Amino acid sequence: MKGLKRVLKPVSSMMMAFWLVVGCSNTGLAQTTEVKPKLIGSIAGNSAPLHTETLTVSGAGIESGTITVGFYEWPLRVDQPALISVEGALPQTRTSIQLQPDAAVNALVARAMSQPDGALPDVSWHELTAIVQGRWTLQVKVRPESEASKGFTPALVSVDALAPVASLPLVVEGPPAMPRWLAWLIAASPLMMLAVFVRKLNESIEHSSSEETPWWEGVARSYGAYRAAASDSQEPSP
Amino acid sequence: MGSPSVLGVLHPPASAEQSGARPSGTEPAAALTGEHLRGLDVHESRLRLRAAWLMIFNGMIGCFGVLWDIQWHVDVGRDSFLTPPHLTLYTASAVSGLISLWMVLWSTWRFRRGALEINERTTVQLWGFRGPLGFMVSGFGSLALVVAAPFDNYWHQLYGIDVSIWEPFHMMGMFGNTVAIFGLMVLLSSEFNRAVRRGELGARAGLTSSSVAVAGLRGDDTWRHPTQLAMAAGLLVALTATFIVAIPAAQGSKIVGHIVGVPVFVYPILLGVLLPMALALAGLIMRSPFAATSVALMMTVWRFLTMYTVPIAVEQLRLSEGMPYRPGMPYPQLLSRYLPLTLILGGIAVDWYRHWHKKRQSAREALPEEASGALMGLLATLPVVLTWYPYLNAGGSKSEGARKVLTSVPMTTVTSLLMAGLVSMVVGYLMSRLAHPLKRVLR
Repeated sequence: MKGLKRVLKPVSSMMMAFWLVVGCSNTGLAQTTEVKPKLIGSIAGNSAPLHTETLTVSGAGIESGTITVGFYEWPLRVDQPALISVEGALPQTRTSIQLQPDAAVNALVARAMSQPDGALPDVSWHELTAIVQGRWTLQVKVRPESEASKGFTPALVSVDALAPVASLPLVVEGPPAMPRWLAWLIAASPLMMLAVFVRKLNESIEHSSSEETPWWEGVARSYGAYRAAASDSQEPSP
Repeated sequence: MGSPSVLGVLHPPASAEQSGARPSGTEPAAALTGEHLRGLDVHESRLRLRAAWLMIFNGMIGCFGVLWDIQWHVDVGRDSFLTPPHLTLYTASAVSGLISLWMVLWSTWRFRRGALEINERTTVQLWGFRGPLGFMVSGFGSLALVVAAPFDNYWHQLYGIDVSIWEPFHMMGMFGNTVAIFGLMVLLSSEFNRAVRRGELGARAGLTSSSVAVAGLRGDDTWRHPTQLAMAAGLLVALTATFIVAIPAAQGSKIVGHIVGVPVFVYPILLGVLLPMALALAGLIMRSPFAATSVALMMTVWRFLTMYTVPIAVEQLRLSEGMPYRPGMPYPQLLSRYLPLTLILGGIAVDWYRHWHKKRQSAREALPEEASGALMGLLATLPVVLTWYPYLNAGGSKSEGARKVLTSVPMTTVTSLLMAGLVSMVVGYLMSRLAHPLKRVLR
């Protein structure tokens, strides 16, 4: 029982510490959805987009019109956050965007962190990241701005399925593909090292077989011999 | 006189002479009696064992991270690489690796300072470093696992978020984990053997010769040594990793594979490879007469823990990320639901064989060690495969479906079972070969 307590005490302490860390990280995550997208603050207003597209939006509850989508990263690259501005002449509307993967791309919809421009009423800023290369469709959705949605805070916005949509097919570029044989060669490297370690283990055993006495006895004997030799040499000769 | 340790005795650095109460290998030469030096060895062992426990704890956290990650993939799907499950997994591995690195660097530094307990008979030299072999191996395994992370992300960038567990860089992580656990076993075995050499354990438990192939001696209480519990925990990490690979393989789309053109069910063959690595090895290197059963029981407790905690972790994360479930999800406790209750049968079978073998050994009628290993591999695998096989190969949900699979492809079933048995015996044999040096290692 005493032994069990001795084991359980440190283990339970460590488990508690772990769950504390997990809990804190989850709380932190909940907060990250509320913070201002980092690119928007740094780029907005200071530079022109690298690429622009003009799209037509029309649908129920919305006046037809055009919007200009500005890309501050072009072409879009995988795992690189892309800042996108949407500028439109559509009064009293709210814009949200998302990247929809094509059927051949195995990924979830990439949602954007969105924020209206502080100075320009018809401009909004969006930041999103595609994590898989290939063909995607940028969907820009516009819906009438209600009283409730005015002055919305930056957040991961799910695009309303009923809102009018403008689509823009685009390609997210990825790194060059590695040959499969090379991937497997790299992946097998731990096993190759395992062979080295097993050899080292066997060498170590071979050496051990000749060591019948513990190491400390050998060292103590050597030391005793050294002391004896030292005391002999210090004795004055007759 | 020629060894560095003796040079250290003769020329202790001056700064070390002011060391505190703890016995130190660099204390004044007048203190160097055999008993004092033995004390240094004891202290070094305690240190290594504490580090090993920290690594085992990290291994458990890492396994939890993987379970969490797989469940997250299935239920929700990931929209970035640095998800909390990934962070948990890779942080745990990195911390484990750092502990190993620290132990090796510190041993190297102490060796160069002339610390007596770090010598050629307690450590090995590799690429200019000197330290316990177990930490070197385990540290490399952890490093491989962490290095696999950016490669894994690269693979996902190319081929999508749901690439199979069999993809190269997932396997690299699994290989790294295998190496890390092997290192841990080397470390714990050497600590056990060092304790025996210090005379802390009974003479009968001394460095086992090949004639004492299987442990579990009657009246032998060496299983109480702390290294034994640590070994069980280390093998538990191995077993968890086993099921991380095996269960998705059984439930995923790739139920049927081909070996030399012959169609086989992947799951039983995979278990034939992986189970002997944990259960037969437990039977071969651990001292408890209930070694394999206790590891299997620990796995069952771990199963219940993860069964309840993983879905909670997924739900909490989903809520905080504001992400929806995938259609038809959550599929509750996908990974932990089927975890190994039947594994206990395998554990009992292995331990029963060890007991039987011990009795035959005293009558000099026992099988050779390698044959015992092969048989233990088979015994560890067969009960699990036979009881799980129909259930899991049908998707793990409907017994009607299981019957359908079994009756529709009887030849594949028979081939798979035969192949699983053969593979488990080969792996069991290899484990017996591995157990041989583990019973002797001192460094």
